[in-house]
Amino acid sequence: MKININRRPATSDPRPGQCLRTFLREQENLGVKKGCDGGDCGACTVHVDGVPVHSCLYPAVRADGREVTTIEGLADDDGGLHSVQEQFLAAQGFQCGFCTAGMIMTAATCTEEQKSNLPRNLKGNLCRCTGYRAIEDAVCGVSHVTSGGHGDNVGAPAGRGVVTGTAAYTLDVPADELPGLLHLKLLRSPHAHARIIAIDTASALRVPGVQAVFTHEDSPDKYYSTAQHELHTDDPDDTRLLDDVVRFVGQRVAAVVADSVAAAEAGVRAINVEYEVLPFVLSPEDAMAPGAVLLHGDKSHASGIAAPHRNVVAELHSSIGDPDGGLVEADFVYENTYTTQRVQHVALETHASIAYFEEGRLTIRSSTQVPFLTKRSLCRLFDLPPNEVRVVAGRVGGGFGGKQEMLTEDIVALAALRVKRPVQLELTREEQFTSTTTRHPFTIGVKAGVKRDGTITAVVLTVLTNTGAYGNHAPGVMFHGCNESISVYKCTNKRIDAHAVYTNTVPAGAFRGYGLSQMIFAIESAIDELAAGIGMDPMELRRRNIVAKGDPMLSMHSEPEEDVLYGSYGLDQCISLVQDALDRGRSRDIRFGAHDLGPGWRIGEG
Amino acid sequence: MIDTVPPRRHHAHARVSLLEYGRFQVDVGTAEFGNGTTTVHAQLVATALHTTASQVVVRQADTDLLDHDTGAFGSTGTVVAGKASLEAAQELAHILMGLAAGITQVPTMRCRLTAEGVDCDGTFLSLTSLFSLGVERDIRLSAEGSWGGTPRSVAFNVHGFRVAVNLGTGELRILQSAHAADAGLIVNPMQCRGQIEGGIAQALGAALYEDVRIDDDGAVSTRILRQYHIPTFADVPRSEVYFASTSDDLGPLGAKSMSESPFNPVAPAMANAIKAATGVRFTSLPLARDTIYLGLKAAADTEGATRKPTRL
Repeated sequence: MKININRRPATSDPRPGQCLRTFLREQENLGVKKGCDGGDCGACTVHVDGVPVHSCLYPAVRADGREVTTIEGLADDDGGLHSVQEQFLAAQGFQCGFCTAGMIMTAATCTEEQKSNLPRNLKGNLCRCTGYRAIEDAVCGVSHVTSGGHGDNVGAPAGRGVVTGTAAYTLDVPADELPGLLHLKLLRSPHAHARIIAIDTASALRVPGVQAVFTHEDSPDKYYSTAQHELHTDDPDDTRLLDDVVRFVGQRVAAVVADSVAAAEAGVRAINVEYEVLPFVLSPEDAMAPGAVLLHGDKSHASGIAAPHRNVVAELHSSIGDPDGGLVEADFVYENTYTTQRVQHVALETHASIAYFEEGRLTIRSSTQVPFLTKRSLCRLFDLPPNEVRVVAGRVGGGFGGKQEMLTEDIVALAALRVKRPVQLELTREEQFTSTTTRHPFTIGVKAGVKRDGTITAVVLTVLTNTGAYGNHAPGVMFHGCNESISVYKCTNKRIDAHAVYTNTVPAGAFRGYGLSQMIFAIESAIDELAAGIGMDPMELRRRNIVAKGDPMLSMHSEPEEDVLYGSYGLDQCISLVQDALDRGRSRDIRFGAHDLGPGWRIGEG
Repeated sequence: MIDTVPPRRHHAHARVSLLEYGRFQVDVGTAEFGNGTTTVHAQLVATALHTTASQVVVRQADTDLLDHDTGAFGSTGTVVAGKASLEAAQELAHILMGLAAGITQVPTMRCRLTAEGVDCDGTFLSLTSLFSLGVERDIRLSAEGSWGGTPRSVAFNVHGFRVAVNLGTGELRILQSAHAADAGLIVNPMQCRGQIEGGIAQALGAALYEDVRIDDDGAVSTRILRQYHIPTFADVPRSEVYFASTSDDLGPLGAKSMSESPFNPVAPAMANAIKAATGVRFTSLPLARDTIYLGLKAAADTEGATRKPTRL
């Protein structure tokens, strides 16, 4: 076979059935990224005879006799950059940069005509960080970068590495630096709730290449939280590394360590597990009902769970001022219930880590937002002194809160400590969806009153959050969500009753906004309804009721947080800036006739 | 509104050192995942040391580098870790001036730190020579800074949409998207705008269609990106982004946090715009086309007639 990669012949042939993406990475082209392995995200885009393809779908064998170009070979061999790479640098058309190599490879093939329709021609490349404006500017040759210091549009120091595919993300470690590297794959629960009666690992251990299998019997007998905070007591200790009870479909049951990913996967398929299937509960309302099956009923209050016998991981009951009086005093009262859904972070780089030994010391290279807290957690879990563990992160391919968790480091550490060899775990996109974390779904009852003059008289909230099978971030998200969302309003009559509840579903965790987006959806929708109820412009109602600089910011306590100050205040400016922009846009649309979209269309602002 | 730092402390340590060839190195704990803090550290350190960001090398996210760092979450990259690196850089500036003043016997008050070295009232000591002098005299040209995440400030975001909704089909078109942020004195406007645009795009996905679905057996049924659509290039409008003109007393050189908060006002602004267009209040996310269609149909059925738009 003769496959040319970046103008040089490949040093080996692909294995039967191998896709081009993994073959290229094995050929040390680490700029070729894995985002989904399903042809959806485009992070793995390369050229085959000049045509951009998703290398995760392209059989490597089909590259026989062809010229493959990756991001590393896009520019000429003279050390310079391709013009599209220059443009991505000049416009800083990236943030985490994990999608950038693929984005550049696609853009580099665009004709001028194709560039005029980027919504169509970049549809095969997803970016989760930028919102695409910066990418559009890059492809179209707009430049933003200047040099300098504070207040200047300085380019990211890693920019050149990002656009050339040489910035090292978590798994971009050359093979010769990790001799003897093993791969870990996880057997995951098919049941929403079950007790493991027996696990037969014998046939898995007979699979060629399998080195070890780990089950709950190998797990430290300790509970912790995958959530990482400065104070580990912020989260309930309800999780075991491998448990003998599984509480959601997709929870870890066993880990197989093998010479290759394929052998580890074969090992996972060969494990036999006998489950005692238990009743399960999927909605938080059902979980709180009397007689509901308990997820963590075996744990005590000492675990940090507010009420294990009611499936309640955290609760908040607060009342300041006179909310009932405020509702009586109101000229208009609005009441409704709002719900928000589960959302996934979809960081383009999936969770991954490698455990290895440096002069005998356990070192974890991980895709994490919290290396120091993860080190602490590993030390606590395995009873290791701090000087025996090191955690490092390479460039991380997106986080959004999803990597404020320990979801891979614990299991690779266990495996490496036992087999004394380097061990790598890379989650698949499917595992990201089924087995990591999501945003907490909220159900929010809002009752609020307003006087005809626009004074909000009371805000009463009933909040139910679904934390899934484990309580990582459940208390924090609930408390944070209920705080700034209402402390921004001066009204001093506020009542909150909130519960964060376990269900037999994939755990929720930290996610950009940390409870606020859910609560603000409900509160700001209700504010518009209050305005409608008294016939006032909704932004005018906001202006009359938002805190001004110096006003106490109150939500659940009658005294403001001692250490939250108005270091500056620009909310009034923000409201004016957006209102003025909408005014300009409306006039513009009318001037150009763009406000009339034809029959059946209605226009609104909010 | 969002507090600029999470409660109950958030710690960061940083170390800034002069390197042999007159460049500076800053060691920080925070990881870089597209949040842009690496650039911010370089800019803050450069400002304190009167040089440009290109002269600053950042090492990060390694538990061997420093004592402790709570990590990059809760929008703390700039306001906590940045404050630590700024403090370290300011301290190193003092050390360099002190060393130069001692050697030239010129009072520190008359010494001036520049991008090339220290100008001691006309006598110039380059950064390279200061490095050598430091080695000779066994003076560590390195300083540390830390910040414990308190007191905290507040940052603000407001989003506005003008949308068109087709009453017959539930189709939604975003005609205008405008966002204003109060992030204090912005360290890097281009990068901060990127954070805001990215937050809007991610929030639009959550507002309009992203939904991890669970089947009756408790399993996630949206298991690949083909079943869980995230915004593509075609889905995201170009938003107008505006900044309030403020400077924060608590943040590093007047800056505030701006990474999580742009997400938060997007869904309610969208729901309120749809209400304004159609007269129908949608109370459940996501506001997908089928949801809007069914919601409009249900409202029309109950009222027996199509509602009049509240604003045109």
